[in-house]
Amino acid sequence: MSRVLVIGNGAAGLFSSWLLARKGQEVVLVGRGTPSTSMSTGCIRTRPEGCEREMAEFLVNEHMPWAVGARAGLSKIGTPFRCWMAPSHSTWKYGEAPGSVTVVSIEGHPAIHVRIASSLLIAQGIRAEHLSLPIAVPPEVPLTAAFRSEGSWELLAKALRTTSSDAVLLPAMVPLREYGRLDALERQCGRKVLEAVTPLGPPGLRLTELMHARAAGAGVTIWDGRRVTALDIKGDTVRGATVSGGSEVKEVATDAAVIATGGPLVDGLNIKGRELDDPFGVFQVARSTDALRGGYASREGMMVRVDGRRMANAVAAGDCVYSERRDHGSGLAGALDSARMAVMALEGA
Amino acid sequence: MNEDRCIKCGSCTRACPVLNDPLGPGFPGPRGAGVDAPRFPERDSIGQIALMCTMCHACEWACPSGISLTLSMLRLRSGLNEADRLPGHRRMMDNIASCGRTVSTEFKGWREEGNRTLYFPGCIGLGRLTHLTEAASSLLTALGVSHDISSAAVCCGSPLLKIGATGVAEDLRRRNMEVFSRYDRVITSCPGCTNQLREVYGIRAEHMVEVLKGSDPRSKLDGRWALQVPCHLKRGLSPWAADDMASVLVAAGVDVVRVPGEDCCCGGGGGMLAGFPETSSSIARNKVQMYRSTGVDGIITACPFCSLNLGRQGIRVLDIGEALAPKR
Repeated sequence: MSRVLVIGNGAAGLFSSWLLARKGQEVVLVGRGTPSTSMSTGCIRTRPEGCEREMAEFLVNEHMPWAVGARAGLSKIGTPFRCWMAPSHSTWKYGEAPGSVTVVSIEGHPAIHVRIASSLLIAQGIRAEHLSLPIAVPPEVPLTAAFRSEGSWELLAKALRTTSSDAVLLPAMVPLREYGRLDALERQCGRKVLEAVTPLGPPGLRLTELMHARAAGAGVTIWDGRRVTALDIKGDTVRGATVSGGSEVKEVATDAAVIATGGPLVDGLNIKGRELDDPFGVFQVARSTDALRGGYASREGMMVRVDGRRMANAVAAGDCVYSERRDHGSGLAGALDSARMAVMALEGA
Repeated sequence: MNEDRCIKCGSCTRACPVLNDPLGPGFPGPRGAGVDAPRFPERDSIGQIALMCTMCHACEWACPSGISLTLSMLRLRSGLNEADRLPGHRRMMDNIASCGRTVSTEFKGWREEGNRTLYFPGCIGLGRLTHLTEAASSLLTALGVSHDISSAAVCCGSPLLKIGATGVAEDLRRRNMEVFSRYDRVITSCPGCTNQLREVYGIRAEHMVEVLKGSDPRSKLDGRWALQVPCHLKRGLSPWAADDMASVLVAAGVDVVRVPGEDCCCGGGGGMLAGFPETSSSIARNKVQMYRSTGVDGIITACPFCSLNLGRQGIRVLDIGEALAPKR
């Protein structure tokens, strides 16, 4: 069994850790800060090409069932959303849109935009109604907090029973462990309960929490809140890393590294002038005129040193990898697929 | 400061224990207080609500841009007017003036025997939770760590910094440094003290968890126990020390139940316990409710503030020093 250091706590880092741990590797994952996976809609928009089976297995959990196939749903402003895999209450089967939808809003809270949503629904041929709940939540307060008590859910169910639509569109507010509340609500009010497809909210957090639990369950040691500040590289081999957390710094030894630090945010690729740059000062970065596509260069799946040498035990995965084909909305599926390829390359090395 | 890195993703607001509590609204949240308030000083002074943060660092850990939100909010506090001081914080200041500690001292078992190690229990351990201090002290003795508990040592100053009284904190540091100069080693039970001694005093103080890590203790407990991982241990001192807290207990034979959210704030930090007691106990109440739903017999923590705040909700809470004994 060998030790693998995975850097990055988003979808690519967690999926590659899980794949490696399942194969008996001793994996330590280091990462801090909210990854962009948490800021996503929590739905997988495009069908991943190479890792469909592994991904479906990876995303299994006891709290939240998934719907897979051509799916359609509505955003919090009522725009249509299409995807390939989504939590069961986010979407309907493509082509089976509800005839009428009640948009549920909470006074003073931006979680759902009722006027825009209603007019966009009408434009899509869906009859729209509007229901304002008689509770006030300050705009900065996450709705999850306001819907923690049984009382607020009873009030919601009661209000929904008065609507005459086929379906109700709720703001996203249930955390992973409470996803079952949406099933209960559907039974209580007798309407199809839809959760608005929402970035920067509970759906993305649920997805990361689920992946985190799966990786930990497979035996991955997760060093949250910590950061790799330097890599110890000799020739073409990563031998260790310097990790800092709180007021402590530790040196760890490793037999291989997976770098999955995501896009150019603080702990990811640096932005130097108008170009991307490697924060470790070791690896080649392939530039692109499209900011979305630039990232770490690779040769036969392995990372490349700035001097052109191919690394023997370092691979990159996810958004930090150069990808000519990356497109808007392909992020999660692409990251997962890239993680699987990175693990394969490491195994072949 | 680095507030300009904010990308307005809201990750901090979703991580904030105060904002997510039913009694939290009123607090503008880490983005309002930590990013916008310092960036737009021309808006009205933020006033007392700047004190409505438990300093748990959860926002800072959640921030994808690495903004030093806690420090940013702490700076706002040092700019507060004396008129903005909360009644609970005034009491803390009065207590400091009369006895050098934030709460009145109840502890009687001082040990001033000229040992080279000082055990520094902190204000809560000497005032409200003397049983915690007695247990930690006997455990240290049993482990062969002869130590003093000095009546001359005063508050570390950390709570004073949290309420914006920087001058008083500096006076306390000077008084303590005189005491500390007589010792080679300082051991604490409160992660707030540990951080203060390390960051402000420049002393390599050790937290009990770090002492216990190398000493192979055994469990004194029956039943199943959840953990309250203290914010200032995990996100302040060292996330590895927080990992060690769990592994020391497991290795000692405690039946530890890992609960999601065990590392979320109990509501007791940052001067909230004295300043906003209702919000502080509401956060603790909701947390204890979550612990109860898991069917555990009690909670083990490693911070006197967590012990005090959660213990007031009627669940058994033990400090790690109370849970362990030396190997027979």
